Amino acid sequence: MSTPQSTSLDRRALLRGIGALGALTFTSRPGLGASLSLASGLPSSDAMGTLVLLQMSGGNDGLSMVVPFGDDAYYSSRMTIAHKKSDVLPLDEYRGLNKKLGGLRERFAKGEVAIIEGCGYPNPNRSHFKSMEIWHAGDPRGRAAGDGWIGRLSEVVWEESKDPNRVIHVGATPPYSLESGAHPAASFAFPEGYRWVGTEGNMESYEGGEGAPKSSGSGSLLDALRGAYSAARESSSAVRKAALSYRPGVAYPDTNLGLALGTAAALIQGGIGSRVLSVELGGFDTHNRQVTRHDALMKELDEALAAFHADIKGTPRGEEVTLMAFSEFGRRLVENGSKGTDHGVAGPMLVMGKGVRGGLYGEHPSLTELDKGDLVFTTDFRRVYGELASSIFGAKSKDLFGKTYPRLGFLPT
Amino acid sequence: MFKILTPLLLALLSGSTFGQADSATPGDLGFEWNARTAEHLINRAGFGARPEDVDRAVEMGFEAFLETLFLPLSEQVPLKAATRKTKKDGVATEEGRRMEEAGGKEMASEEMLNAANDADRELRKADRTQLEDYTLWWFDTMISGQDPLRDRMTLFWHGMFTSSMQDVKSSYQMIKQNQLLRNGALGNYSGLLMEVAKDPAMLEYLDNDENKKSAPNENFAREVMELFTLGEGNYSEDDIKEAARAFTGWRSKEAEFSYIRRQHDNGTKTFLGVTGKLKGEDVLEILLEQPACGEYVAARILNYLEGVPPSAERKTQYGALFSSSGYDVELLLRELFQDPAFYRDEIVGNRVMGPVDFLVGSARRLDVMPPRAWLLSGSQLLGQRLFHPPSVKGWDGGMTWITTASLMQRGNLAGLLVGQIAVEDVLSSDLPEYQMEDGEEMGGEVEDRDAKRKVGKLGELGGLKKIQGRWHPMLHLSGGAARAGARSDAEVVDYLMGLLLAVEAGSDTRDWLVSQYVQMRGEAGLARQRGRMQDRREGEDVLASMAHLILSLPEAQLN
Repeated sequence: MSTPQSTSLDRRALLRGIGALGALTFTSRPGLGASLSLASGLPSSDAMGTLVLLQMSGGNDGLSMVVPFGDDAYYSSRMTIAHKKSDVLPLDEYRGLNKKLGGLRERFAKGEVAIIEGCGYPNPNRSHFKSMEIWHAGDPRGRAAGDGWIGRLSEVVWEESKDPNRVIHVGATPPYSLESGAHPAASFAFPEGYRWVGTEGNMESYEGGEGAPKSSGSGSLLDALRGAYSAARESSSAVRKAALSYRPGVAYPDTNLGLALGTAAALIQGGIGSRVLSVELGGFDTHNRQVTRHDALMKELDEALAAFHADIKGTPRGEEVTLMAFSEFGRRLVENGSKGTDHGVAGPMLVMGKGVRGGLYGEHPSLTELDKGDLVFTTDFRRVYGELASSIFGAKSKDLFGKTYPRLGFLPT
Repeated sequence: MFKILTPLLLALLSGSTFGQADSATPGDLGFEWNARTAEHLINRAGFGARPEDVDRAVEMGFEAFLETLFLPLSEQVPLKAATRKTKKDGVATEEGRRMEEAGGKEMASEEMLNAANDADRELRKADRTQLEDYTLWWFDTMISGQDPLRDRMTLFWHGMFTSSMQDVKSSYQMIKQNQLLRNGALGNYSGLLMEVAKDPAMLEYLDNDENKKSAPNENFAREVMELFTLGEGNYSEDDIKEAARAFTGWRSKEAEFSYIRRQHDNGTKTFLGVTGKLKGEDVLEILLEQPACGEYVAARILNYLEGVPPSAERKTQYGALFSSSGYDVELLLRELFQDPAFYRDEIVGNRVMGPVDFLVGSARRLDVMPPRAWLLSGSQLLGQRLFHPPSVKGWDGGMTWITTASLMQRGNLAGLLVGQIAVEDVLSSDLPEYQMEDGEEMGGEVEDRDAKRKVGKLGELGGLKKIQGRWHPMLHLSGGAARAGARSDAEVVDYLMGLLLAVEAGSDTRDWLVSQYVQMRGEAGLARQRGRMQDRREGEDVLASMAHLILSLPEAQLN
């Protein structure tokens, strides 16, 4: 039997080596923010690092995504729902990707995907809602800590400069991470419907002239609504123009995630100043029929990511995109009686993009040294957040999370 | 009875003052019953206070009005019946039976298989229709306002004891659950909890019907504590594991609860400090004995009706009142509605309306019964599709209702309701606000993508298509303005604001609206609201256009 600690070290170094080779290209670049766009003749301010957040809601079973097929404890804990060794797409002798993640495996081999294993935080909370709040806030207090982590990032990076197109959620309800008193995010499920339809008589009034009431910044509920009202009017036209005139390079799968990532690509390529885009894939709460349900989600994920990648690759703005996928927790090692798993703790995060140094990061949690039946996290998710914030936006993790989290190295500094 | 009982009870419980209730002389409310407080109570205990509702309530006096909220059984709206439609409810089709007789899917002829599949499809269609009809029935009772508080609290429990059609896949079971919530909406929470725990839709939704002795499924055990009784932080992970064992063997069979003894773990469990051969019912009883339970549920109710979480002090007081009353919801609500703190400035007119409140309230204020699709697709578009809560936590409410998109869609739905815009305008994916540059016309590829997107993502909007063309409601706005004695431009605007807004808009909004009205009236070439027939029709159009604008404003999202 192989253990995550013993086998993977060499293997991991090797894999990271592949990534590092790829990363040589980037050593001459000051960071993700600049040079490629210059080379392509665009002004440097026009193509800037963009972060795409992909939330896997419900608690992604990390062990079915990055399968530890080299570990006997995996098979003895999951008598009916384990993925057979012959089914997985191996990354090394210990672990492999879910068989539905063929596209991801391909890009991992090219060194464009970083898998950060064992992500979590101290004193884990197994409530979907509380744990998601902690991930969104980047703080154990959750909502009580104030704005979401992207909201805080906006304050640190853009200070007084406000732009409702900068942070956009493509979907029904924006995640708490985008919550910001000062920088309200735009949010819509589909661009066609993202506008107010008026008549000749009242359109001009709605657009708002000189005397139209504005937010006074008092912090009242009415002020918050007025802020959203202005943001809607300001972003609707630009967003619709970018999204509806966009011609994708590939056909996106006709799934919620596919359509959302297609819209995200349109906003990125539209050059309307979007820097953080958020999309969601739900349905990960696999208390029962896990294999069927989780495999279907992996398929939806892989197909949507593959289309997104194919669409934006080789374009100046596309090269500056980094996508990060996360979930509120992983699931219990031992399966339950409904061919599913209950809420657990640690799980993998994925980071991908042209500028990413692909490979394995963090440490796979042990399947034998458990805490009350749960995997023990090895890597604080704020290390990942911090590195993204610093490499893409030049923000310090200390300013966002109150302390400095060491980099993992999946992005150039 | 309550007027005598509750201050006494509270004095005993808190040992101190409670609001201003017991410092005031007997019979004194401790708050003023006027248009402001009456409108507030109607909006929160029911839906969409119209000016005439407010006048009547004020005239009636607080005590008499309060009694109208608690209808005797004989005056309640009779429940709309539901029938079993799907296989899960035990319904079999003739075609399916024939296929089984022929040896099942593997053996039956293609013809038989197709016939069985077609019959299944028909079942599913009838199932969807039944849920839509029931949803419409619920919307109708909310709009007609026959039993507002029961509607209000059924909506509350629907967002607390959540189940979704998406997982349950049986309209019969969803409707049965809703009837359970409706019947018990103002009764005893403890009884409701027991019934909900054994409700077939709930057993399915939280997987408890797959909870086996050999390897328990923790889903229900966790959520019943986190979201139905105690709140996060009042139990341990071990409590969840032990409770899950106690709930083993609970099943739903053809839409009925059944207990499978051999699947029940009969061993000793220790749950929240109690050790014994606990059964599921015992776990629920133990939960009801926790002080945290009364506090959690009372706080949920207060938060829902007031729009902000209660202070720690009120949470404790209402929690104690609630649990010591045996979880009497009616008693809790009566106490809340006569609590001066319920009418404080922080609360009145300072809650973001949920989509159902916005839609039902607008229809009530304009006195129109909207098209079916406007209610069904509209509520979905705005993020509150009944019988489809987004998660087991229900709808978060408050500012989370508002996104830049949903705010504009509220305006669009208002525009449809007052007949100012057509469905085609809302659904159109062209860019009227842009002149396309040369060579920028929509190519074939893009059209294909749009066609695809319509199928995939315009789902919520697409449902509106069932409203054919433009809907022409009879609004009688100019008649209403005339009856209200509105003569000047400012008075007309005041009339519209009074009719359409639940809050008192500030002078900045009012002045701006008056200027917009003067301009719109001028552009339509109209003199003031009097004159020839022709003028009146156009005058009505300008008022409807103003109504569209007003209902799109930030102020129109508050009540």
